[in-house]
Amino acid sequence: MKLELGKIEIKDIRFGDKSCVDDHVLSINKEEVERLVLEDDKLIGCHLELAKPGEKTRITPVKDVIEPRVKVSGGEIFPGVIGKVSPQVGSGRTHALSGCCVVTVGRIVGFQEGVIDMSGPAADYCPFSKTLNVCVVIEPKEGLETHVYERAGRMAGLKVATYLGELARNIEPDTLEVYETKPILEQAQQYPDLPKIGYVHMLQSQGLLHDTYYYGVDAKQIVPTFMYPTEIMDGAIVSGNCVAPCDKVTSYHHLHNPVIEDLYRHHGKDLNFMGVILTNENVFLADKERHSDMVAKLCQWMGLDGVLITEEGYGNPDTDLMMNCKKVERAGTKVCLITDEFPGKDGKSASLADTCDEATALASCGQGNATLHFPAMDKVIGTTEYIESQIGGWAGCMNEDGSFEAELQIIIASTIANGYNKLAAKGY
Amino acid sequence: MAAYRIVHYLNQFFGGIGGEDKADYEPEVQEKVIGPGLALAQGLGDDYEIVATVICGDNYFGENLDEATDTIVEMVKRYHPDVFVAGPAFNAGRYGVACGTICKAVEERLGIPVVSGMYKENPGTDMFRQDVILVETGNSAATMRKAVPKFVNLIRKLAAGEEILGPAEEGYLERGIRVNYFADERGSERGIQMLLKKIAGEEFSTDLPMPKFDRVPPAEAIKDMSKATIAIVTSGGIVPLDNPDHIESSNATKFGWYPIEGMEKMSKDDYTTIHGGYDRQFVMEDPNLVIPLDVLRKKEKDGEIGKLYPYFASTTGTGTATNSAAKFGTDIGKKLVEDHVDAVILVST
Amino acid sequence: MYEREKAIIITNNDRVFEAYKDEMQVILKQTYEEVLIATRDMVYDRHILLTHPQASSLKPNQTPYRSVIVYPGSGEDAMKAILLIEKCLEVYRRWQEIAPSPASYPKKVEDDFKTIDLSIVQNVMPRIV
Repeated sequence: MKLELGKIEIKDIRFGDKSCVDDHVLSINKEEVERLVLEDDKLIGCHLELAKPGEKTRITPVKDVIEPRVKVSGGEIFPGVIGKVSPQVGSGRTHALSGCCVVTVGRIVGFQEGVIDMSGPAADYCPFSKTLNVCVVIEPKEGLETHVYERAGRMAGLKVATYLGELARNIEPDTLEVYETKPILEQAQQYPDLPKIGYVHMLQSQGLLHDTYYYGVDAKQIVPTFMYPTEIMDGAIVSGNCVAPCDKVTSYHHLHNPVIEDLYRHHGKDLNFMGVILTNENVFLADKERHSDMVAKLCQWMGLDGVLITEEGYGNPDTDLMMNCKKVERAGTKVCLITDEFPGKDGKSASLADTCDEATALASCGQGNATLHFPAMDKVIGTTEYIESQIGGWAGCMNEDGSFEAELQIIIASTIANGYNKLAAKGY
Repeated sequence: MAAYRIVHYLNQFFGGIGGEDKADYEPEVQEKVIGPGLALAQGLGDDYEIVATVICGDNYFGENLDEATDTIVEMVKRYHPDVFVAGPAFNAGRYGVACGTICKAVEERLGIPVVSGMYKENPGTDMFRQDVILVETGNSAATMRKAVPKFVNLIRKLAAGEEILGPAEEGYLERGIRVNYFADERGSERGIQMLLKKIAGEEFSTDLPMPKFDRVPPAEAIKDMSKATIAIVTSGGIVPLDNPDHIESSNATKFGWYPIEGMEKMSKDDYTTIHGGYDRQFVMEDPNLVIPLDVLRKKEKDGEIGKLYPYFASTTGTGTATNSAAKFGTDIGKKLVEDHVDAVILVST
Repeated sequence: MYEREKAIIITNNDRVFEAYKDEMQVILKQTYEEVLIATRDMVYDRHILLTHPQASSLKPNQTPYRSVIVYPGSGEDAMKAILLIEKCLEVYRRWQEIAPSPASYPKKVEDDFKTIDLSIVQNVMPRIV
């Protein structure tokens, strides 16, 4: 399966009469987008705001972040959720508006959502402090069930991203990247002397606000399966997760999965990237046992010499992470884990909720309990009303001038456990 | 006058009082530079002065933990030091525990920065590495010369309130404190490089070493308790009043066997606990709390268990090196197997 | 593999209690910690865990509600269950030391937490067949 990913560099965003991309500038017809979002009768309010790197702007509570993309040659983006499911997903040509993101903002539940600062100390920790952000601020109808509203929020972001992505269809990309993974036997033969490497991608799937969708299928329902890495670049996986901002894998991070991107960078040089094994993080213990057994079997069946395993979340998923690690190693495939840490504010406690002897290689994505000062900003998109009850904040952490103290946990994707950032922790 | 004042702690040996025969030596202060202090003073230069040296015997300290700590903290306080230095203890276990205990107390109670040093396998290392900066030394005093520059650098930084960098930069034993930094490569790339090295059998270093557990698979369950012989083993420090085997109150180097044949319960008139790691008052009042002889005798009479083994084994758990504990366990287990004991109740405290 | 009537829910979420009390045994506790302790006691007394006691990635000081499902059983699974519940208690206490759970939440937030906790139980129920 071969995908050409054309990237159109966006250098500025603005509101205009007509939505279009012209000379690297994205213009957006504000009313048209707001109308699109309000087609959903679960939502009674929507307004768009723009946030750019360097501005004294704070965005919170953030639900999801999505890069606008479009399928140029057959097939549709976000299959099973927005677009139709088709065999073309992951192949052909896709265009992306690079450097700009759709950010959905608004109260989902009374806690959990995170913060993006466009400047100041917290900006160093957040990937979306460096992107041009189209913020979709939404307001639900009164009295909606939490899960109904979560879905409406999720769909609003994806719809806007799809709408903006469509603008890229007929534009000549600045760069064209080509990614290819062949059927397993051919792939093994292409680089017979290089170590065969796979990626075990654990999807958050614990329940309401802890869900991920694979071709529109709730990831709780899947059993471990093989996926061509390019499928994810066409939006085969979208996030429905709102838990713990710092290690949330946003839909943007699925499109830009760093393990997949970096494995492709090494592909054919010092390793042979064989593909992705998808699995989940269920609550039911029998599922954990079965799925870790199946992951180990798939690794063995694919003849993998090594895998990287990433998780999303803390606690229950740590158990899946360690079960996968142990069983995959015992089945003869070497493992390196990538995850973040929660050792307490003083950094002295155990970092993970579970461990195993086989986890001899682990790349840290930093520790989320470290605290940071968030200075007051000139502009707030959304509301800072809930900071004290958001994860990473605490009662009394907010100051009168709008500044506050909080743990890194409150920043969207600051310690994301798939290795997207350079943040790491070491022993002192 | 020097800009910074230092108080130094030594045991009876390094303090020049004597060897094991002087290990009961009570705390005292000498207003001079002694033994390893000379090398430190020389390295530190004229801006730093070791104004006093506190000396205490290792056994005295181990057996009078609270009292000795209080006394020594008071002694240190009188000299208003800018930095408190203990040891280094190298691989001397009791000395290491003493250095760690005192440093922790001085820092907590007086707010004075502290530094000590020891060998990585010293039992004091695992007990205090999170709380006290411990310069990594070799296992004997012969390595002092190499440790001096590390001590000097850390003492200077602590005195001036400068940032202490990581263990690799400063030469101390890792405290197990997780600190964030921005790496040169992102996590996914670092993971790939680590994995490739692991596959190639090359050396790599994980970002997060896993804790090591010495797991022992549980034995088969006993089918019929009414025929089983049961023994009691404890790390709770229960000994006859005169502590005939001189088991230490922390970092034990030995264990003892004590008879319970013919006894209905443990009496406070015959037994006590010398354990230095928990509040002993309830156990001293009622040793059955740790050696549950009263309850087990009743179960024996009622036929719930076959019989009680006529001895219990006892040592002190606190500060005891894991390899000492493993050796005690092997010796105790061997005897119990020889005497056909079916099960053991291990009482921890 | 399982019979619903034999499974036991231990919870401090009244909405879980109300939802399932008529079809199976539901033990209602006051606090998160009491749920973990009651679970531990059940596990030591010949039960296995059907669900992970730290379900959801909300850290143990970030949600006031906890529901766990146990089932009669012994052997290797019981040993695993003991290790897991003890680990969870340890982790719970570690997080309370880091920062104790807030004494109370606004009503709406509390309802959200109950909803999330309930959804985890609802998602697992179809598996208990």
